[in-house]
Amino acid sequence: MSSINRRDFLKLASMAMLTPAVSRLPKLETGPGRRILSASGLDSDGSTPNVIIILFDALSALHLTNYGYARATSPNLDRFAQDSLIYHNHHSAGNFTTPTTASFLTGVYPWTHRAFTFGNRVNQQFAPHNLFDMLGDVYHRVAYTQNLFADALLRQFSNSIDQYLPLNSFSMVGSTFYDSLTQKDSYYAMSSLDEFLFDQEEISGSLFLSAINEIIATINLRLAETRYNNQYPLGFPKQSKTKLAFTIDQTIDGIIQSMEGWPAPFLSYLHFMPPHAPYRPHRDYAGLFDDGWEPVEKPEHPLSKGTPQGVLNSSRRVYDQFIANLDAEVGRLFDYLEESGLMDNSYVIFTSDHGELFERGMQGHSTRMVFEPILRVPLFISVPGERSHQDIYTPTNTVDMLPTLLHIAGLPVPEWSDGAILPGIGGSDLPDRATYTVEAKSNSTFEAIERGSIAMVQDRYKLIRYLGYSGAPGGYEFYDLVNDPEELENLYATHPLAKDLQASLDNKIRQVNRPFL
Amino acid sequence: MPVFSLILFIVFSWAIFRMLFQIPSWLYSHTKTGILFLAAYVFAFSLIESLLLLGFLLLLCFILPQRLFRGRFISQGGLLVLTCTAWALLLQYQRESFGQSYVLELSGWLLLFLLSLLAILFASSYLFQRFNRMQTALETIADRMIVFAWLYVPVGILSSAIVILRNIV
Repeated sequence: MSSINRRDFLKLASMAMLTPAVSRLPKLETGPGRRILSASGLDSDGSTPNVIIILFDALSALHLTNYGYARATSPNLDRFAQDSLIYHNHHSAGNFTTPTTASFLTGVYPWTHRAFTFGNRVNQQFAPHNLFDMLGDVYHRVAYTQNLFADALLRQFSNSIDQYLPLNSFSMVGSTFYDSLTQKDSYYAMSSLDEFLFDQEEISGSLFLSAINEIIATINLRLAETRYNNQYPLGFPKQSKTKLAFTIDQTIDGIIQSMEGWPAPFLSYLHFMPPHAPYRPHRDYAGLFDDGWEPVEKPEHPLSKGTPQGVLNSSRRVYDQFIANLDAEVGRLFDYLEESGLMDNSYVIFTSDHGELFERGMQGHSTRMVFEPILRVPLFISVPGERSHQDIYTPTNTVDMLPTLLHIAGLPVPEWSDGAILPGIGGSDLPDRATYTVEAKSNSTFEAIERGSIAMVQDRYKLIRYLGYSGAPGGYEFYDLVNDPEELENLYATHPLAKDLQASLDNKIRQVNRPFL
Repeated sequence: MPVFSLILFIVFSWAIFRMLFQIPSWLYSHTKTGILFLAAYVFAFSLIESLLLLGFLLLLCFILPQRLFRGRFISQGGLLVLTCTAWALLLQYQRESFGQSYVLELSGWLLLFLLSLLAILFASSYLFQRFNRMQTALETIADRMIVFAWLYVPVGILSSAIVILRNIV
């Protein structure tokens, strides 16, 4: 594979402005199975392939060219997709980092692992059921994240991780208190110091020390920006809740350098911050997508913050620029994997934890809403030794990752897992299977879920149930994702299947709540 | 002691005030014991913060002419603590604008902060000579704060012990 450099990218992007928008959601059918690996998942020579998980935070599949987006944001991912399996209906198990990352690492839904509030960890009962622990006999396990909430989870599992790269490993400026002062008690230190006493985004619990910290961090940041000749007109990309600043190229360089020392077979979980807000593209991408294109305008939702459409459109454009920026750097990572031969003996998995919303009066993902742009995440899997492309339309979910990785390692899938082995990697097509997304950030972890938004996707239909939110429209919304991919027409009152799905979802909620009642 | 008590009162009260906002969300994700651990970190760092602020005041006493503080350390020190508090509050509530400041701009703010301390110090030195009641009033207030020191210092020490133990074991 040859890399697409910034100049090529800019040309492609300008051509794409002339390209008409393509259908947003492909039909929900599964193509013929391409390959079913042996039960052991081993290469033909008996060696175990590596597993490289690349996760970019808050990357909505609906903003990628391969998933039908009107803007050419992702030429390098398109290139990667040519030799990969693409899952077109992959949904996240939650609508922000904590629940989804926990589901990725434990293979169960948020209502089971209970990490569904900000910065929470999984229930102690499920802590040993984590990806790293279960694959410990097979792989050298490496983990890295730039996200504070994901870091809380990885630290919970740190005894099962062979090589843990701290949050600030490749940052240019800044550090976290819990990382530098109190590593042994990082969870409580993070919640009390970084998220409360020295909170960088809201009013802090400390009056004077936080002020000193703020001033020192700001001076360091400004000096770094000057040193880098203001390459980032909106400021450096930043890790939220901290003053940690980084550049995507330096992070990718750091990972590449680190990767060279990992003993095979390795399993690496690499969780990058972009394109999570604040959206801060490099200046080479800052002028892109000035194309006048506007998405379908949708009515304001009762749970939205009422952000005007014009603001949403201009934020969307910067978000798209940030995606284009990360895509170019990911292209460099893919080139390295190709040149080093890792692509040939590794499962390379590219995905995200959740998407981002720029519609219905809401921007970002700090919301109670569970519409497709926030739930549909990319999933590309490159299988070692395979150079063909396959589109998979069966609905899949974050919880499927753990069973799939266990299968790849030749291990049995435990009964307690909510997930299924992904089709194309050895799993079957299960079009009637229901998958769920759980948003319950305003609900106590220790109590039954009585406040939240739950989405259920089954075949082509999606049912949303709002629990305990005043102002939510009637408690339920029902959409046909094939005929109405933009989720504009709520069919709950009229569609004959709506009540069946409602009974099924209500029953499921009762079932998961039972232990807490 | 009265000046340190005033510092303790401001630092701990602010932390407790902010914790009242935070506890509902902590209750969602932490056990009651967990919340006590979180509070231990908060109080341990509040004690450190108080000591550092006292250290800053003592440093000012050491650098500046002795006559400014002689016989009225409590009132002058108390006034400086209140000035620092006002600046810290301004920074808390104007974080956006500070966060976007450039280095020169920040240096300007820092200079202004130091100048304001000096101005307050010299002005109060003059005013306290003219109006003795002002000095007495400030000393009385600072004196009353000692009761909080009896509460906050043990809490801070106990919290520090908890934090140290959790990071050793």
